Amino acid sequence: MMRTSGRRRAPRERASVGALSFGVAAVLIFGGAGVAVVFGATAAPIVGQADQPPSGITEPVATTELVCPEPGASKDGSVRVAAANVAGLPGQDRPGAATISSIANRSAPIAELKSPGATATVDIVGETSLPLVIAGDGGLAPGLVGAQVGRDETKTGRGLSSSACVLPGTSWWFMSGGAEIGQITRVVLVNSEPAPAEVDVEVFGPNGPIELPSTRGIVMTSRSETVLRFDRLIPGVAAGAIHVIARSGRIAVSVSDSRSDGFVPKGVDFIPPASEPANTVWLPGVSDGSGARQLRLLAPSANAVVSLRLFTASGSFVPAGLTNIDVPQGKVVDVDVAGALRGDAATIKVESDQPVVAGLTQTYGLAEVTEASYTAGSPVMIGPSAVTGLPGGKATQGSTRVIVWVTAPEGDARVRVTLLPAVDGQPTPSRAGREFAIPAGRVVAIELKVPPLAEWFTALVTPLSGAVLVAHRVNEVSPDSNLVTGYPWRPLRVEVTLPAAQEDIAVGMP
Amino acid sequence: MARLHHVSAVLVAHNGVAWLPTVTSFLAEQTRPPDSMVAVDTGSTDGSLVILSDALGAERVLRASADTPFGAAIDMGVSALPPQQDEDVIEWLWILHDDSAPDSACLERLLRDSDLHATTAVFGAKTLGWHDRRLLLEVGFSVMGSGRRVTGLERREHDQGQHDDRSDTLAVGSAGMLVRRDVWEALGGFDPGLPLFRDDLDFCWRVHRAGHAVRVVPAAVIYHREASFHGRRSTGSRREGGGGPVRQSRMHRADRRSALHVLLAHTPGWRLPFTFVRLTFGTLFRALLYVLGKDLGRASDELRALGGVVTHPGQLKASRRRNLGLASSSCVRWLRPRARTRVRHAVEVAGGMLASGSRTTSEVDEDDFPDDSQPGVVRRTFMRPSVWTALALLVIAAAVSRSLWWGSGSLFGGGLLPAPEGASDLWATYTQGWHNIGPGSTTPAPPSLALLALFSSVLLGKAPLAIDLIFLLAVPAAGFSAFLSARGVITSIPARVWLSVTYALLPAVTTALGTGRIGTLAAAVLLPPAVRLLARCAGVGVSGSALRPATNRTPWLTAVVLAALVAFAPVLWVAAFVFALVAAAIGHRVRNLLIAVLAPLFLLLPWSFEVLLHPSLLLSEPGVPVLDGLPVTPLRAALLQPGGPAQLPWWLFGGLVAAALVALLRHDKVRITLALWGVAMVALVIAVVQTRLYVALPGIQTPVPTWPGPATLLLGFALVCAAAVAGDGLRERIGGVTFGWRQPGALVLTALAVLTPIAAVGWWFAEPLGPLHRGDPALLPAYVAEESQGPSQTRTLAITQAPGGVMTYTVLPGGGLVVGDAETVPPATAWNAMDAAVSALTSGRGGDEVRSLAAQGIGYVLVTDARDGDPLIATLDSEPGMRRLSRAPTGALWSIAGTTSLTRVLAPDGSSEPVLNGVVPPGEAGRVLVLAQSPDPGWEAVVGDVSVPVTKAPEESLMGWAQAFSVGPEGAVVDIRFDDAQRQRWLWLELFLVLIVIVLSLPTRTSRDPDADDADLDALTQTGVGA
Repeated sequence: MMRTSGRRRAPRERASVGALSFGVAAVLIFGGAGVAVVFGATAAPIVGQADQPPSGITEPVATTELVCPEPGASKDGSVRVAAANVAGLPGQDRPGAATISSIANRSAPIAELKSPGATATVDIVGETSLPLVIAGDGGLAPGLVGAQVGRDETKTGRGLSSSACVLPGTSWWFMSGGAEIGQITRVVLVNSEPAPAEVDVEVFGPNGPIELPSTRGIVMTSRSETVLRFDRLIPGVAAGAIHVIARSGRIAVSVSDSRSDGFVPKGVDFIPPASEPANTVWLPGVSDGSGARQLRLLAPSANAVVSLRLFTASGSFVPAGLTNIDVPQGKVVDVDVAGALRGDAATIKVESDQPVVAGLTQTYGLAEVTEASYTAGSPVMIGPSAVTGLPGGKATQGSTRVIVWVTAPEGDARVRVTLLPAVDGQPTPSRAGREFAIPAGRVVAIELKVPPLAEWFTALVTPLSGAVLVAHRVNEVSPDSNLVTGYPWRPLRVEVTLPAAQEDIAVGMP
Repeated sequence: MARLHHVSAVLVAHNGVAWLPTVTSFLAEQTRPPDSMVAVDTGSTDGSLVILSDALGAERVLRASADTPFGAAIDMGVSALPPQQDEDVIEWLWILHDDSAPDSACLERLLRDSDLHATTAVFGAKTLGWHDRRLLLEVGFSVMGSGRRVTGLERREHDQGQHDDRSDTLAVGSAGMLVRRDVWEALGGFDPGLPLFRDDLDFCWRVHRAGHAVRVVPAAVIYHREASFHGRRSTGSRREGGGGPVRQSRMHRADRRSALHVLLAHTPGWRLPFTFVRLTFGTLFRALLYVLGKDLGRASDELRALGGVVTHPGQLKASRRRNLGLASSSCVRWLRPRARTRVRHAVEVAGGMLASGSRTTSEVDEDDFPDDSQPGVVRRTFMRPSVWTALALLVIAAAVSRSLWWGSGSLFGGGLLPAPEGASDLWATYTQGWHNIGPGSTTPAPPSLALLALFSSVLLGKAPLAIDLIFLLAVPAAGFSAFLSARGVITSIPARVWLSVTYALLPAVTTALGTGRIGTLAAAVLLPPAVRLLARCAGVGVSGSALRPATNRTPWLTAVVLAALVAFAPVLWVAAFVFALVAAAIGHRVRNLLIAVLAPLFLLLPWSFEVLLHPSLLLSEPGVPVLDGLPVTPLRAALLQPGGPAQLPWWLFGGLVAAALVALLRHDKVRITLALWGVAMVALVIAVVQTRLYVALPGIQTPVPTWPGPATLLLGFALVCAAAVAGDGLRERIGGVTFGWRQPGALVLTALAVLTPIAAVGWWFAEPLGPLHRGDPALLPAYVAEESQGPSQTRTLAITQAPGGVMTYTVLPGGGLVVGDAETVPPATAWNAMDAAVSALTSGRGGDEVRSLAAQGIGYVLVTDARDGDPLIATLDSEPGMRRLSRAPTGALWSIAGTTSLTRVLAPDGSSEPVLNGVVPPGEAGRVLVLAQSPDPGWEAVVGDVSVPVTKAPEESLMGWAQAFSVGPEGAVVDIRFDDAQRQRWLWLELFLVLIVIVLSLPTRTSRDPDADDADLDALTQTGVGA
């Protein structure tokens, strides 16, 4: 074919040879290209040999370290730090130990948990104490939970207060507190690490961020505690929101709030940390009953328009007048939701076009003496969660009620609630617990049967299916006004999912 | 007072029939004729004897044998003259060659000068060319220490009286030399030890040493053919009129030998050994340069000339004995060249030996000079279509990529890492056997890095500038190179302009520019000449005078170009190999093709060896693997789109493909079109395979699709060429036939083809350029970079959360990655242990990952592209032992607690101390020195001269990233080093092979006669001889 187009042929013949050449060549080329393209398009990718990174493997955690920031804050009341290990979790067959120790002297434990399921208590009465650290490793790292519970029956700081001991972190939001007359908001910063930390505390008020040079660049030496008081920092500012940022190192933060009117106590409690700014925020544990229910919102990055949806035992609804709430950037906005709730226990869903942080202050009692408790934006959980330090014992029988609200925000859920009483620090025999069905979009109140023999107990909520939000309330009947505390639950630290990891030089591209 | 002179002219002839008539007639026209004349014929076989007898009379012509040396012939003539008679009359000898014609006033002016300079014994004339009578050949001369003749003239310098101020000189040539007879006789004439060359130099030198002077008289002119020197004598090759039977090809050897002889003869005894050693080294050096210039004959001449001097000590001894009673040879020092001249000459000589004077007839491209009548070099240059096409492409490319050229910082992004500071860094990466990337690797650096380093070195070591230039100039350079490579194949200028513009704007080129793919860009420039050379090797397209047929050096030159191309785009070697196989199978030149295709493998050692072990490297490209827009569908690849961030319409280059297909209709060019389509099919198959094949490349563990850019580039080049070949001369051809379907069809296709590059430019402007950008290349804060480059050499673990929750990471050395690091990453298996550690770290498990990271010398963890509220940040924040340092816009940084030095000393109790600068502090017994580098037998730790024993790495470095050495309780300074002698040996071998192939690819050296004869004159001489 290639040799047929000789130069000396007659024009007529040459033309026909040219056409022939073209025909043959075109067929060959189109055929070849077509085969190549079609074969290439239909052939499955041929994947070379390589080590596929494992993914989706779960593994029990190796260490858990919880900081209880302010045991013994009150000189008049008593504070109990309770630590428990929830037994029956994966990874607990490994050797391990857990201790409670002061941040100043980690090497000399105050109390010890020896085996999975064990408990330990540190009671501090009438004195202040340095922050405590509950640290577990090996088999005792999964399922370690801690709480600090304060009780003061008589003085201006009268009330029940409790908070979970927390994992140190670098960003903390608290959506309550203020510095009205009689209000004392204490921000306790704890650096439990061997390295120093540098901390910024940003405070927001109703009129926007409040410039406080003294709360910028706070240098915390290793294993130290720093306390800031709102009444000294921002006297007179009613509504506050706090953002604590560790610029270097990591810290644990707790904020406690106490109010009084002269010598009349108006309620005390720890303010639970709120979840990071998000477009959807869930607040479980809005108590039933009368009293104020003040939702506090902050949009830190941009002006936001917020709508609320309330979930109650009978279903969810959008309250009239609580849609399209303007939340200007950096300004604290309070919204009264008591009217919309009409005394029902609820979970609030905050939806916003910009990331927002949310918290809620609730007061109890219509008499002169009132009590307060708080809730805040919380995570939706699919794994077990637990709260410890719940009151038990004979003295509580009849006077103290413990209610756990479980909400199924996304679909039907089923949970098992197990009570783990603490008896002399020994592992409690695991109990079967009770199962509850949680219909989608409903709040189910579960009243826990306070164990009479144990002084305190741990409650464990294990979702069997679906995702849930959990919060609890402890209500102690008292002549003046009931003593109330409670907070939203966080996932129990049990297992982590190992992400697949693989080397890729492109990560090093500036 | 005018003195009385008696001049006897002595003419020596040997086969000088071509010139003797002119010489005799010029002699007859002398305004001051010589008083007597004698001619000596040394065995001429042509008509020389007859001409001489006719001119001078038979009695004045002496006959000598053919092997009479020049000096002896003159002596013979002198002895035939009557002895010196009158004391008042100064007797002169005027020495003439059979190819030297004195100007009519020559003798008169020489004698006039002698009146003024009584102490001067030798006068010489200004020597001009025979044919070109303005060409300066000599106005006196001197000699270099190396023996080289120094005339002080430029090559082909024309006489405008610029050297007429010369007078005192070391020597004058023997042609036209006027010498006092008494001096001649006293000194014994020319040295018989110098049969051919340098006899004049030696004689003049002796004249100086005897207390006389030598002068050149520029007013006196002689025209000299220098016939023997330029090999113009019809038989034999003796010096003008005399000399022994030395073959023409050995002229150089005789010249060198004479030069050495003269220098040694005039060296004082005590300096003789030094001079000899110097000359020996000089000779070896010159021989080496000749070898590099592929002139093996001259190289051997150099050596044999030296050997000739050494093996004949008697001749040298005799010459030195003749010089015994004379003054020191240093009396002429003031006439020897000065240091500056010597240096300049050395440079010229080296350059000349290597390259100049060796160019074969240059291919003058007539098409490239559309308007040669335009005056001015600059104007003419810019009127060339190749130049303005390239300039237009430069403007387009610079306009589209304008964001890359303004502002500070370096160019990076996509596949391109920032350039290091200097070429030396690139050279270091290329030559080192060990690369501190990740756990350390012995992956050899690719040869593209050496080419980048070479380019940076050319730019005075400015590596960032080299990278900038490659990206700025790639498009115009690709167009320029395509334009030049189409020379001869496509004659129509518009077709060539279209070809070069369309080729330079192929998606493979523009996408490579936007995505930082330096390999494809460089390949785009090298591909057209490589294809042209390979075609010449195979003999494809050579018929019909399109391409010049391959010479012996063509395959070697092809190998060099192909090696550079393959270094940047390895996959194109496959295409070249298939092409060579097919061409060889259908009977093309197997030897040429074998050399062209296989020699690059040797030139690219040791990398090509690595490719043999890991063939997937053929699909790799220099730089970071970029996966954006990959894989493409085979259909897109067939339509020349290799895939990238910009999504071009799939049909954009469809018109080009159609035009290339219809090109097969041009049956007068069907062979070349078919050949191009064959190349296109090979490229298409490679591209389609690349869309389907996922391979593990260096630097990325999961198998990934590779970029079919180079394959689509080749496909595009072949199709563009096919279309251009068809379009070449289309108008004349179609105009000649009757109107039918051809004319409108051709019009439509031409329009489609012309619109293609215009549309390509439009889309290039409209779409975003790609990830390549200019900015601050610092990935890490300055203090981290500082510490990493300090004695602790800490590493940084960089993590990014990829889509799908996969944590991708790498371990950065020093201040971050630079060009060359992406290719030297250790193999995937080396990372397995690190995978687990990173997985555990980012899970928030809270285990001992942090401690094991510290044991690998990792002092910092960086999460790039991290935002506030990223769960990964919270996880790492809660990891014990990690301390948040900052939250920068580019990422969050943590420092790792513990001893994070690359080298540590580990005590039995598990405590460790950093080893900085190799200083091991004293401590307890049983300690080990842990080096956090992948175990390799190349590592050794040395105290003093003693190698430290290697021991088992301790448990904590289970990641397998460390090796350990036992150290005693006493402190010591340990030198920890990697023995990369093997790599060095490979590189020396590579350098050697590259030099050999470059030498083989260089044109052969040919000496040129500045005063060349006309061809017909030479032919006349030849016929004369034959008759």
